[in-house]
Amino acid sequence: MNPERWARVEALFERAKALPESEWPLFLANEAADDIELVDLVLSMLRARAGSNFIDPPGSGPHAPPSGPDLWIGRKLGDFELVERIGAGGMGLVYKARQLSLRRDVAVKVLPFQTLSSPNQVARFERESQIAGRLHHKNLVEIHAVGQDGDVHWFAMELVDGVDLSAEIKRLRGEREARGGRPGLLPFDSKEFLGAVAALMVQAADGLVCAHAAGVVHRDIKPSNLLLDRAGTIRIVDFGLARDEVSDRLTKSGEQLGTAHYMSPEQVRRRAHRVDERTDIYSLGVVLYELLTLRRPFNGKTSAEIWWSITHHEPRSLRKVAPRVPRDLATICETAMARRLFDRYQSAAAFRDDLQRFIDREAIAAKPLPLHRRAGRFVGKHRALFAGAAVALLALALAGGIGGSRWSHRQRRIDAWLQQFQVALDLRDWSGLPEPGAAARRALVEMDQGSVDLGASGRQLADQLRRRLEVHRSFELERGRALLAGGKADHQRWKGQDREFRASFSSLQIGEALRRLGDLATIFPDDVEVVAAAAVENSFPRVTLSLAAETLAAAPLAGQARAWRRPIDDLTETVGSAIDMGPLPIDDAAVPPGHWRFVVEVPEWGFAELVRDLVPSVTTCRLVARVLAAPVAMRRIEGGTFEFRRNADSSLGCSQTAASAPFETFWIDEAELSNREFVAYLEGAQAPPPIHWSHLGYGGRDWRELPFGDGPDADGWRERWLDLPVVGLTYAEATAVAEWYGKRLPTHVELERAQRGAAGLYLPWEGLERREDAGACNVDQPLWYLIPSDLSAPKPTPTDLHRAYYRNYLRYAVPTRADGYRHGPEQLFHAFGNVAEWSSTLLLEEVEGRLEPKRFDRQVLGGGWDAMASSMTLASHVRVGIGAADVNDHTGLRCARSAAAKP
Amino acid sequence: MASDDDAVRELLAAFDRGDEEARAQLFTLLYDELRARAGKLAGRHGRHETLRATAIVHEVYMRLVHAGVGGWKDRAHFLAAAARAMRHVLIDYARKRGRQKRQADGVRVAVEELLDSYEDRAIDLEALDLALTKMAEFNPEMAQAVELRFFGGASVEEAAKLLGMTKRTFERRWEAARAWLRTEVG
Repeated sequence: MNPERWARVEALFERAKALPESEWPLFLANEAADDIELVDLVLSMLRARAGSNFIDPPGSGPHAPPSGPDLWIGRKLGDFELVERIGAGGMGLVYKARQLSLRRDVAVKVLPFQTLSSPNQVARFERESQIAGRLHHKNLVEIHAVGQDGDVHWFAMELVDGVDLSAEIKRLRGEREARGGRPGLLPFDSKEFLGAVAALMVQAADGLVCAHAAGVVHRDIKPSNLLLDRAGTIRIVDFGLARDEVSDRLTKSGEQLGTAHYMSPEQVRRRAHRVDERTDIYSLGVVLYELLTLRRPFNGKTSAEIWWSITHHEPRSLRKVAPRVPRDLATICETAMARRLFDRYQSAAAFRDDLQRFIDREAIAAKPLPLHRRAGRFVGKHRALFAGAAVALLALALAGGIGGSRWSHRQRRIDAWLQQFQVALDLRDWSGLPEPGAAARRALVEMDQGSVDLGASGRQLADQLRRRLEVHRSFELERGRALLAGGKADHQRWKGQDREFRASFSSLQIGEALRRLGDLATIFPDDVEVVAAAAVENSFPRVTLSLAAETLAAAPLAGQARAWRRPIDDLTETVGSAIDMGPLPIDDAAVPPGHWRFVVEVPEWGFAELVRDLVPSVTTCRLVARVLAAPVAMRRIEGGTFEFRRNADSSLGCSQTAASAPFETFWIDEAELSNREFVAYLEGAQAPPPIHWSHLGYGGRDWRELPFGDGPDADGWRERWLDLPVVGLTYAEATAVAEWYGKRLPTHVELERAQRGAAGLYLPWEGLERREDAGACNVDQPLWYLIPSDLSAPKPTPTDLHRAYYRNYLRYAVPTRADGYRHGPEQLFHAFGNVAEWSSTLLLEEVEGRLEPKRFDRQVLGGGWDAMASSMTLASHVRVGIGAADVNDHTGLRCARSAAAKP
Repeated sequence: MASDDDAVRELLAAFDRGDEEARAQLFTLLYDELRARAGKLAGRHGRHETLRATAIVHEVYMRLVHAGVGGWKDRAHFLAAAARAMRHVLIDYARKRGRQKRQADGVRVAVEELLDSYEDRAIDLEALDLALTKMAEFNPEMAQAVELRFFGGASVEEAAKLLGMTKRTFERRWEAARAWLRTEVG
């Protein structure tokens, strides 16, 4: 393209866009018959033009319409002519429109094409809007028509004359503050307010009843979706219009803050399969809370903060915030908003009926949640403790003697467990089953023995549960076994192809199987068959351990080598006590899945440490220990406890749960591993070349052939390269080279302790101002100089990109033992910068309120040669995947070694 | 900000004469200007947005300082340089993000969030960057316009003024340029 050609494009575009879409091709073909490419280009430009916020500056309002006149006004969509814009939401734009055939005013919502981006979403939108279109209820806004025009989806609905509840809440807030704003539909301070709110919620719940009966869940109940018309009728809008996947996208940019407040815990946790009508009940509960108190129960500056609150905090007690709210109404609201699904109203009808009872001054059905259920959030974190407490309570109840008030207390207690178990079974809430299940089974045993009598109805319940337990047992046992077999088979089948992904997939199956069988064994601790299936030792990974040939040849007492394994705690990284595995060689030993440090000791010679994460799908793991004598050029660091002292901000995304962590005495390399040392390993071990070299377009083993001879650094780069820190290794490659040197990768704690010193400094120059221009990360010039200039060439290949970055590495990384780069309290070379360094520590991730290790990521500490010193500290860390795709040219390693084989 | 315009021009002149005081004042003024712009870009919701704005401003500012103040003729010129620096900062982060999954550092996270809101509107920042570089060859004014508007947060009026066009011309050409970029990035 040249300026002249562009001028022609601009002119054609300008003239064509005034025409209707159908005439574009003909017009362009006439005008530019000589240049078909030009026609194509202008056509695609014309089609790309409408309805997008593409390259609008980010502060210009959430999904602001393109500058200039509104493209939609006056346009016809089906039978509807758009008249004026009446609103803009996250999903799209709402217009007042005229339905031409029936001559009535309606509202039309237009969804710009990017909102429904995948065919799945489109299909779902169509399916659900059809169902929604069949819903007729006085509390639902009726959908008249759904349609599509090009890439744009739209639907027409009733035009409601009124306000939405979010406006009403805003007004109420203003009224409360100003005392005497304009009177609205709901006078907050009046006596009737509480009754009026309850009546509104009855209507909304009634709308939900109708929709739920048709199988449609709203998923996005919030004040702005509840319209209040002039007659005081609540109308729920936007029913069944697929939005959860969409809102994921929208909330990414923090624009949909309004929505986050009303999301249910199961939505926040993305448990899509658990999102059902009780999700709407929850969200409506939040609306009720907000109406009663004019505050939102969960707050935060960002969606992420709000989501954290929803899943981790209790809302402020309603009656503390608004003391005038009667206890029953507060109980109704809290029941609707219960964190656990089975603590909520189980249907919108139950919710509605209780609200109606409150209005009619009758006794409500909901009871305040017992304390142990309110504290539901603790269950996930301290499940074992909780289960213990539950059993203890039960035991107390059982031992409580017979008769009198204590008898009924005990009776109630057992009854409660049976009920809870039944509810959990009804809901297939597997995670809620084991503890109540175990308790229920004990209760059943007690009842069999005749020491407890719950009366006729209790006996009936017990019989029913006994039958269901049996069904549950056989189903879960079969399912668990099948999953286990499937997971193993899958792993075998996919071995070698895309291994990381497949391994995680099949280990999910196996993990799921083991969890289910384990849960079952909790309920049936005395059932031999169940316990045998759950104690699946036969599904454990097999480990083979032998000594390297060099060690066998060199060490006089190699024949007396022995191995131990020490578990590494996923959460705290603490290394547990040693379990003897016996003398070497070890063949086919069953080792439970988990993160292990294998220690091989040769008497009067030395020891080696090999760290492996045995995910459940690992079937065999072959370890070869190269045991070397004492370490050289390493710094000894005495064991102790390291205080992380993280402040609130840097704990964002931080995986370290503990504020402090114990560690044993260890040695750490003074310098990062150089290419020279890496090449020695490649040659010595006859190891395959790193995957990264093939990214660079060279897959051989001889480093001299690496393709940089023609680069800008042609002269002498080879010599310089040898002293640079090695980069571009996968986690497995880094582990292999460390082990060849008789060392291992440091843990996160060790690396941070080594870099930050006992006092836990953040910066090498702690106490001074943070130096914005510090050259300490080898970057003493603006980063954008690092952008390879050849990137502006059309379509660089992945190899081009890898090479371009690698050239920057050659230019900006410095030798591992370069003068002037000893940093930090321990005076290590490049404690700060040059390359980031692998640790063997798993990243933790929050799952259902508890931390779970992410088995395919590791922590990487420090910044690379390309990191800005101003944005880094000695404690900076990122997570990097262990797969080949995550290899980068600013991560290297520094090895560590324990001071003693076993503490 | 007409008075700012004059102030900047005056300070630049004083700085050219070797007045070190002027340099300090100049940077304070420009820093404030950057902050205001970044604040606008990041939205105005509270603490986190402030953090985001600050993180961005720091990087842009550092780059501008490195580039030196000597070359700017006036405020308009400065804004163009700032928009360019902003583009580089963002592209830099976008490119890095492709390589490392997430930075745990607080500042980085803040920038990531801003990056998200940019990518929401640009689909793929790296592709946009390449397309802009391409466009600069045949349509340099509009390439700069995108830099000013999208990366620099300038309003339509401001950008038009800086490029010496009427608002109407600007809007017309903007639409064509945007559509072309959209086809390139899509």
